[in-house]
Amino acid sequence: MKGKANNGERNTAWYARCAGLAGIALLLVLWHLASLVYNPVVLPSPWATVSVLVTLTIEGQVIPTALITTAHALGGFGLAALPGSMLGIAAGINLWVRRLVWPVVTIFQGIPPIAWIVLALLWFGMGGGTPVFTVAVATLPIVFVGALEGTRTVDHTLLEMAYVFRIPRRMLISDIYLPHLLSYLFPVIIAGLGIAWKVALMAELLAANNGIGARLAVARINLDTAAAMAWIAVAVLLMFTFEYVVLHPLKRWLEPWRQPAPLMDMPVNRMNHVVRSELVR
Amino acid sequence: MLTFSNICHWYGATVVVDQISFQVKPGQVVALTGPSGSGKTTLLHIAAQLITPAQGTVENQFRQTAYIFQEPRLLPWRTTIDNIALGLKARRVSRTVRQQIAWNLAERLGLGAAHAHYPHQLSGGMRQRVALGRALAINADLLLMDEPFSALDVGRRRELQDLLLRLLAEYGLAVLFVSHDLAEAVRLGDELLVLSSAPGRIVYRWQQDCPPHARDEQYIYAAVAALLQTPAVISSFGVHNDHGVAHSPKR
Repeated sequence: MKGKANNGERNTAWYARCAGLAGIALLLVLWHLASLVYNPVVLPSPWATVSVLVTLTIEGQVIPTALITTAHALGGFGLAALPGSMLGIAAGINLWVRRLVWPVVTIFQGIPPIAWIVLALLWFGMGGGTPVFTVAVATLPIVFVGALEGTRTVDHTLLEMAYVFRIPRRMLISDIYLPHLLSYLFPVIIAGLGIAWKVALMAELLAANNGIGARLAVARINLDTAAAMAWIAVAVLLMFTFEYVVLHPLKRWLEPWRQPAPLMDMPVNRMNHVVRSELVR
Repeated sequence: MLTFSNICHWYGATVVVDQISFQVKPGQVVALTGPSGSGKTTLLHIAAQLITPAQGTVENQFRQTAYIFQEPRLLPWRTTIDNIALGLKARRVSRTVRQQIAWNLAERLGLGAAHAHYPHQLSGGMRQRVALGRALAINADLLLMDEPFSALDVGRRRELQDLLLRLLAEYGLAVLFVSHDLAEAVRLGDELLVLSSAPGRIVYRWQQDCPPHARDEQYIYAAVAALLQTPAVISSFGVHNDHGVAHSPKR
């Protein structure tokens, strides 16, 4: 019976995947039809885009460029993650740190990334420094808020339980505070990385001479729409790869307790039987 | 021996418990019962040293005290086995030993199949069993329980009460527990302390002679009925005598 249920679940997952693929196929068909109507400079066909992408890959341009953008996004996010979470934890623990830092973070949050790019250009000039800096300042508030909320929301009933069971301070941190904080930080990291890629691309487009964004800028100057489309495809593929190859396995590894799983099969029938027989007796 | 001597406690100007004195002897099960607001949970918190009483003294000579809360309070990020073994980990018991102890307890509590499950994958009754296992694992000789089965349906509550009675007999534990359910108090408790509400005072003490295994349904119904005819209990629970039904004048 259990096998049957699993099969059913597997079938549902399979159909869901098919539906997703059908949606993408539909998009490609519409793109193809539109490309028949419009000039290739306005909208190249999917096939033209794929052939440019293949050429770029064979020429060995795609992977190094993608790695540079990855370095910008991860480097910037890495710079933000540590101080952001440390500051967030400090603000969560101490009311005065919170009062001091919160308004500053709110202001930072209100500054659009594009404005940071302008400032970064003035400070760092063309090059890798601008995208890394912009990503860092754009993602720092997100990490800060996540760490702050995570620290403030530790379940006090669990702390009470820990007190009653004489759990030492060291274990409070490793068994209660850290797992709870991680559960708050993980979604924040995923959201932050999504923003990091987009901001990195934008900063590269305006202020760098390398990376996917810089390639897009070149394609724009040359009016090479197919190349622009190809680089956009690279950016999308890169984000998806990162999410499914790195983030999801990492989450499964760090948070097995968050995985959806069917409720335990309770021996309800057996138990009802026990109770009933006792009542009869 | 757990001894409460003249305990008084208040929050602000409100006296919650007043002049409470009683003892829990080794192996004895004491039920604290009474209406809401009679300070039952406060007394349990005082016994667990979660609260320091404003007046009076508590002396706990038991070697190890464990607590079972109204909710299971399990760590969501730990499996059944690791949750049961939590107190042992805090006491620096080696990993292999504590896993072994937790395994044996999980088997005893009917959690064998759920040993690697996380709390959110368990039903309410199973979670409360894990909490029971966590309390038993540290080899306590005094168990404090705050209405541990009140969130469960009747069938599951009965099953856990029976399981608890078997375990109490086996481990020879002393228990101080809180319940607003007189039937539960009679079923589990050797001694019943009935508290009045606001402020909580012990208005009635009843030491029952009937051993736990002999307390069948008929006995329990009769005992509860007898209790509900005792003037002190009537006034404490606010039960009106006319129809034997609780009467709430304003709703």
